[in-house]
Amino acid sequence: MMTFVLRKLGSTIVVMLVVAVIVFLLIHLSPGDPAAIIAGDRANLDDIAQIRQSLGLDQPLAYQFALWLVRLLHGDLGISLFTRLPVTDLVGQRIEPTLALAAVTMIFAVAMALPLGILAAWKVGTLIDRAIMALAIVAFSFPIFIIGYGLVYGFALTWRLLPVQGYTELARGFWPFLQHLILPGLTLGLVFMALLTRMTRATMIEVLGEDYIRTARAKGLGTSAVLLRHALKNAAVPIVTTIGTGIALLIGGVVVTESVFAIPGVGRLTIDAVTQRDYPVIQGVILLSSFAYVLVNLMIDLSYGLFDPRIRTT
Amino acid sequence: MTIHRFARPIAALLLAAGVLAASAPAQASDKTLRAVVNADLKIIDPTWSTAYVTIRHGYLVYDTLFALNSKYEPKPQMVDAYAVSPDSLTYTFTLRAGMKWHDGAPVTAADCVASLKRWAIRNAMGQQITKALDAYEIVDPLTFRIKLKSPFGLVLEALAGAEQPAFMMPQRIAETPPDKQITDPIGSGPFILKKDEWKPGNKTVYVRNPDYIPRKEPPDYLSGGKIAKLDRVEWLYINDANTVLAALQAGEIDYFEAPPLEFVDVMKRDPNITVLKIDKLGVTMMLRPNSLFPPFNNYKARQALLYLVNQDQIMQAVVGNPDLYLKFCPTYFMCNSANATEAGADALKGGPNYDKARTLLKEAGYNGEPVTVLYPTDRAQYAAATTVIIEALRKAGVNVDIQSLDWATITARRTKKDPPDKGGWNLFITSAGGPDVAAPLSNIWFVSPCAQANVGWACDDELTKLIEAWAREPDRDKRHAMIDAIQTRGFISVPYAPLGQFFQPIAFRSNIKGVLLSGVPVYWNIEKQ
Repeated sequence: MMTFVLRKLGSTIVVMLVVAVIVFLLIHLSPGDPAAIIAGDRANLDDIAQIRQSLGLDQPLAYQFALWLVRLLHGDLGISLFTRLPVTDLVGQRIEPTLALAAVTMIFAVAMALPLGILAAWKVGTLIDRAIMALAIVAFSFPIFIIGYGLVYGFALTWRLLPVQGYTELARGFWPFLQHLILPGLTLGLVFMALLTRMTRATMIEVLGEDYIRTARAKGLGTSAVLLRHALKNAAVPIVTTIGTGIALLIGGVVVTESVFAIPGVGRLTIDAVTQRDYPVIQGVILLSSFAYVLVNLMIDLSYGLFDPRIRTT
Repeated sequence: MTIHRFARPIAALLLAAGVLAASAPAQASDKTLRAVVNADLKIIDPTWSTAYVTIRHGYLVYDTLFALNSKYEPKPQMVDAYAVSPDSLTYTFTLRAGMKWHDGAPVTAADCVASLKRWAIRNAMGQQITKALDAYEIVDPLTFRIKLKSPFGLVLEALAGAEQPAFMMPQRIAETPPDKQITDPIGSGPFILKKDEWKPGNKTVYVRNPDYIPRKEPPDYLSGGKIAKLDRVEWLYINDANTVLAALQAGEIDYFEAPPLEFVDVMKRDPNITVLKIDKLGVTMMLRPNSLFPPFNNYKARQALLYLVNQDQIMQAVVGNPDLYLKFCPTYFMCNSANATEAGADALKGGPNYDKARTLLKEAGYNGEPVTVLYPTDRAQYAAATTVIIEALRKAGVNVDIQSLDWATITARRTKKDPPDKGGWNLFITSAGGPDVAAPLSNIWFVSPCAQANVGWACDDELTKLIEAWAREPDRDKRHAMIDAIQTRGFISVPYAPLGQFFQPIAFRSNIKGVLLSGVPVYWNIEKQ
């Protein structure tokens, strides 16, 4: 197990180095000039040149990359060209909303998808199965912003049950914190619910056809025991993989939902940095996101053993 | 009797729903204004960046020596008394007593001189003062002089500039090297930036400055008494306009600085929302040619652009609502301003004349070469105007090469002096507004000093001489009499084609009172009832 973990972490470093090089080249070679954006519309060329020089953007690319790499190896992701705040601080401000949104989204998604997927598999081919699949297709097909606006119109503007936008830190109270996450969590959760429902149904159908399920039924076990204790456990691996991939995607930030609900998450930080060409922030966020992605995948791999003892012993 | 197995979960859900319904979203205190401004505040140095949001920030935390009143006259603000020598070469300023910086230190003449020096490095009007300057002289802790070696008639107007103001800051901050941003937002203005609560991309917080001493006069445009009646101003960065509108309707925010113009009718129908035009000058949209390369290096080709313009049609595309734009505004110096004039504007009158445009282009030597137009994909208003102009260019026989780019790329590309077919450009559309556009020298798109000009590099020595003579004239009425000649020359050399003038209203909850008609959104005098 330890060898497996160490090997995975070792490959993570290689992956991140490759990502670092690609991201650096992509953003520095693409058009756009952060100095011109910083200076504003009313600045002249001399002002822009001075800003470019003071930020070190006039240095050769190789020099800029080497400097950034050296700082990175010391754990320094650099300073935002615009705010002059450390990238780590900016990302740190966004972590809690991003993780909170990811958690609430996955709780909604799993809470809805697992029962629906199991039910669809149990009643495969019936009207119930078709209705659940139709629901999944509709939820997956609707653009996220339309779902979001619809929920805002109903729950926030019409019935005044929940706030329209914003994020409240957990330290300021659990209910305000949760209230601001319900609508965005539901918006995103519906999309993941659709994906997860179909995955759950597909793997459950496969497992329900196995011999040991027939044996369990023959032994006289009830439906819930067959479905939950025997079938679901064996179907868990692909479901957990899908959940894990979803969490990794959410941690990278979900721009549309964060924009619609004004949640100051990593997604908005990234898109703002890209539109303004804030190079250190773009590089830092993408590196951290790739690290988070690899870490989540590692945890998924390790979790397989919880569900399948055969994986544990190999 | 067996309790139905779903009773407990249903009861729990009902209880949760009840708790949610009872827990209304938390309301800010009555003296906190929650505002959504036009962009995210990322840079707090108003001498480093000319971004509008940075200037708005400046108005909260800094004060100025002079400020404009509603007649666009400079009035003393931090200055208590001032005197101008008979030859208009020496200006003596005495500051109001008792003014303090946010850290409690007193405001002194040395602070103001250092602030002026930093401001003048990048500001167009400040640069003119520096050209004419003999010396700054500190007379005593509250008094300083600006001594000129040659006349410059706009000293007070420069110090009262609205769009890139000469904000005063402590000497130790003002002396930050010009190639570095200031990071300490200490000023002497009516509000204080709470740097510990500043979260770029999320929220900026200001609190009332309890030590601020407002002038006794009532507020008038940007001058007069700046009484902070709010305890706290929160700027929220919400980049989805629909979300901002919903939040305003729900009362989660109080103030929307720049609502999309298509929302105006919806907001007007809501009895809880007030829509107000605070700026009678508004914004002018302009078609900027590149004077370095053919065809627009020839003045006749630039004149041809004037014959393509149908301001009503362009403004319909950009704004839509006819209450929010002027059907026709034939001046370079903003309709509704003191300098507005129709002198020389014959080419704009009578609507587009594509034949005349074609003739002028031919006289300029145009033979159908591609004309590169920068089309902004993420600026809806500019994109709408560009679409109309492209169509007009084609009607005049121009071979248009459209380069569709995001605004960040356009701001980089337009600084390039490469030929249009090698990464450069021929035409792009931009906008500007306020009193700075209303005056020849401070209108950075109008001045034409060739290599020193803003992108587009408008070049006309005759126009430059006329503007310099105007700037040297100390008498306001005599300066005004020179405007016609300047504009007439402007319509000959055409540094840009004026595409129309429109107004950006603000919107706020109806319990917000005291919003000033200040041109630039400001937060003093505002209170929540």
